[in-house]
Amino acid sequence: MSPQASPNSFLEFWQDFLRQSSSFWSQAATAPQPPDPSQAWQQFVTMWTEFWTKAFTLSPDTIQTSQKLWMEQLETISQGFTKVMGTDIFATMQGKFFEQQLRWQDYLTKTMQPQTDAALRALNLPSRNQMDRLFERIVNIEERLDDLETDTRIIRRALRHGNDAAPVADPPPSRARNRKAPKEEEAES
Amino acid sequence: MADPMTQAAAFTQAIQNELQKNLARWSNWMSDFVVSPAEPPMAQTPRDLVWKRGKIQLYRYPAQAAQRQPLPYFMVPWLGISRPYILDMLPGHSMIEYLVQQGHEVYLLDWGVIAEEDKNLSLEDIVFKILPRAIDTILDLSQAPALNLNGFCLGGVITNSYLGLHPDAPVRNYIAIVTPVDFAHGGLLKTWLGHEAFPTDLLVRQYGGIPTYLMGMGFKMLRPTGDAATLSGLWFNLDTKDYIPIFKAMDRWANDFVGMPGRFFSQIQHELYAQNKMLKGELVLQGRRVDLRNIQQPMFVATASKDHIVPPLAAKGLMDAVGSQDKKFMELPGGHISVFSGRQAHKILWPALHEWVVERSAV
Repeated sequence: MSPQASPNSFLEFWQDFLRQSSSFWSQAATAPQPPDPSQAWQQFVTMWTEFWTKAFTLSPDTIQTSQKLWMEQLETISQGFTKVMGTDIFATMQGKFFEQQLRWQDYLTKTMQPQTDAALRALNLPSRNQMDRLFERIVNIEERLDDLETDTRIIRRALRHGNDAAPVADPPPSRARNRKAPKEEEAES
Repeated sequence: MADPMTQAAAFTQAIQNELQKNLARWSNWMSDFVVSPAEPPMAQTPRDLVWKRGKIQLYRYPAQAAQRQPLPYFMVPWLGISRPYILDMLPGHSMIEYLVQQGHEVYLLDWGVIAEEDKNLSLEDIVFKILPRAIDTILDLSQAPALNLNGFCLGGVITNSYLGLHPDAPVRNYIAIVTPVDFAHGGLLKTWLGHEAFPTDLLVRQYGGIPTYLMGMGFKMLRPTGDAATLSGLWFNLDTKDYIPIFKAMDRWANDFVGMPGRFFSQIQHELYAQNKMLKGELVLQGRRVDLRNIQQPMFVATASKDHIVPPLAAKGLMDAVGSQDKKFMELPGGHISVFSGRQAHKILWPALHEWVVERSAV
């Protein structure tokens, strides 16, 4: 993708676009005009018909060609947007705009918080913070349950191997998790 | 150039054909989008839940072939962004279904629907606790000495970190599909997220992570004409009945975004997109440095030529960073998702992957 460009590249991109468009239209305007105005239109229609006839006769399937042209046009527009959005100035503008939005949101939330909390208390409903704390505790409890299940499985495995096995207090280590990399252990010893 | 009479006849025939197609399109539109708008059933490959930790679930897909492959195949998808059922989209269009039909016992780690209560989930938790537990469970269930590990996108970042920290991990073969390593070539995401103006800390404080709506907005911005192209493709192909279930499935998945945990996003943004620490060997987790040269397993790296999320150069960096001797690189036609779940995937990537893994999985 496009590397980060100078801050002026966004404006330069649009200036270049306007310059090219102006050049095209001025060339079209300075093309030799016949004295009779109706002939000017005829000249234009002839040019247009010749162009599209040429385009469609390149492929036996006219409709498929136009479908391809449409998809290519969409792709070109996307690439144009990507070129603009890939500039450093766009990233800066986006970041700053986003930051402003977040700060404004934060300010509004803090301003409205006391009234919101009071209303929820009056309705005997939990607040957002209370719900978040509850969900976090549930997640923590589930994680601790998983830790307990894992330890229980290790202990059961050790017991199943019988008295010859390693003591229950020293269950076999996880095969998937090394304590340290071998080089680090060597370095330490 | 053909003579005008022939051109006129061909043009007339083309218009007639198009009119007939339009009739078929309207008919299919009415029957499949208005009268019966139901989505096709997705994720139909039989599976069972073998391990759970909060929202995180490990599924096992039993092998369906008579000849079973000796080692289990463990898939670690991206954390957040979207759901992983794209890997088992529809019967006949499912990477998981393909692999189980070739005899692999497949395991998939489903991160669940990430929300604000998951804001503290970090790369350390995943690499030091969750992934090892999942791998232990897989090896216990399959009674295999090792497994084949496959990371997708940010799931590959997770598996790279895990292997970089655990050189003796019980992983026989490693597959990284559209996995970013060299974030300097990260495309638009690098331009936006790697920029100092991006308010990551404020975002994480305000929302606990990336909320669903913001995730969707960000990914739509990567391809501004994506929706127009999708609807255009739908219209052009609506006369083909077979096209419609695939479109519905893909469209549903493509708009089914989930959030990303705050701590994890913060690490991805600060340490990877902004500073590219993994490739430089500077990423430290719980005091230990992630060294990609610890990855010694045979490795298969797949990238997509038109990937605007993980450009090919961002993924290719893994080839030179690892210590593996046996490495294979494939750049495939298509985009970020179509490379492993599109119509071409079953012809190109899946058979190549299966053959590569089978050659290296002897017990």
